[in-house]
Amino acid sequence: MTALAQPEIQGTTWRALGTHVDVLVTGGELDLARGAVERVLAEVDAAYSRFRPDSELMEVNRRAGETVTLSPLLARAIGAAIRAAQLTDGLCDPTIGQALLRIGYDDDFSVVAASGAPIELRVERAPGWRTLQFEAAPRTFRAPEGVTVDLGSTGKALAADLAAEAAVVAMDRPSGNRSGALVSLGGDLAIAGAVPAEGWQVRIADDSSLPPEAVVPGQPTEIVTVREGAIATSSTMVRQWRRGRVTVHHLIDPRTGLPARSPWRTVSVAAATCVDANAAATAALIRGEDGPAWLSRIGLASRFVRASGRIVRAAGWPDAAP
Amino acid sequence: MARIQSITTRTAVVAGIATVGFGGLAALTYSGTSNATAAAATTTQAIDGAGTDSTTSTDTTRSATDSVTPALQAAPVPTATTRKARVTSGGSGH
Repeated sequence: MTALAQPEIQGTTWRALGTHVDVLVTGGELDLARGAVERVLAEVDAAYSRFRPDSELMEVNRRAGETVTLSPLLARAIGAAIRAAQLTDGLCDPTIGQALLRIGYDDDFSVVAASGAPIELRVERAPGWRTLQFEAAPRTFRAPEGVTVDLGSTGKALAADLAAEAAVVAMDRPSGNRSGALVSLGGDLAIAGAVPAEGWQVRIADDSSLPPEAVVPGQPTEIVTVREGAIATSSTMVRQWRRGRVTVHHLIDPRTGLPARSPWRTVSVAAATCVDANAAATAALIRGEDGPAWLSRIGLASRFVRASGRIVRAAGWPDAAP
Repeated sequence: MARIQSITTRTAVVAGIATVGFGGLAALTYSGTSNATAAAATTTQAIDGAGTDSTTSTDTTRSATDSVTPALQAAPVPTATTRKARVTSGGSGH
């Protein structure tokens, strides 16, 4: 009897952390990878969900003003968020929690009403990451009273990084083979381990929930091959909702505490880790017209989409294949 | 605090996962300040990542590990392809 050849790449998808999860593997057992990813995501949810009253982060936020000891995972996530803020001139800031609440993003996005009563939009600068006190070694943390920490941006990216690594470890352990994994959480994806011969093909679009083969008029897409690192995309075209006559979205400019007003509707960045790619994409979008020049200076390949749909490429991001 | 410690104990099991591949982040320490001027000085030093610390006098609780915070790290540039995509990178729609 001849054994059927296993496809070089296998994949599965499901929902977690309020978004869709895609896992692709090569050279390993998909079920092992999925199990490892599910465990990481469950731990992430318990550690720093902003929408679970019993999450550790919610407890930390309730204790703002006190010095608390964090779990290793939450310490890692807060450390990543503070580092991202440092390296983006504060544009990717974890202290925007109150700003998100003010514009109505107070629950998992699936239950945030698509439209609702008018709200007062007022300029109120986020407290800023510099108000936080964090010591990594003893894992102590203190936010001033009234500050609500939100790890929605870098937290999801960190989860992708950790999940990809965990998937490879889970697959490699029983077989001794060298496997590889790509984990995407809502369009922020991380790669770990071995790479398929043809690499990983990733479609770049405004909305990650679209099937890879979908064609949407007015949404410029292209496909790239990646072999290591990560790609993250930030977009104002998704997670929008209306309050009164105003449409708001989830990308907060810490300088105003309001949804960012940017010439860019979508920014995609390739970087060594998903945390870095996500921080760069978010900050570049909020930064505005200077976004491509900034990412060129720091050497992160990136793709910007203007509101009109026109595409600007920076730091070597390739032209679309004909 | 008991609640926090309980959570800490419960989630200690994830420590191994949390440390996979992220040794660089473990060094981060930041002691914030409400004094924006002092904070700005320390921040600039951290971003420069020069490995020196000439601003310690403005923040007595800050660890020297601040100064090793690396820059955002690049990856090899993706290549364009006509192959079929297997996954989409985009905004988190739903």
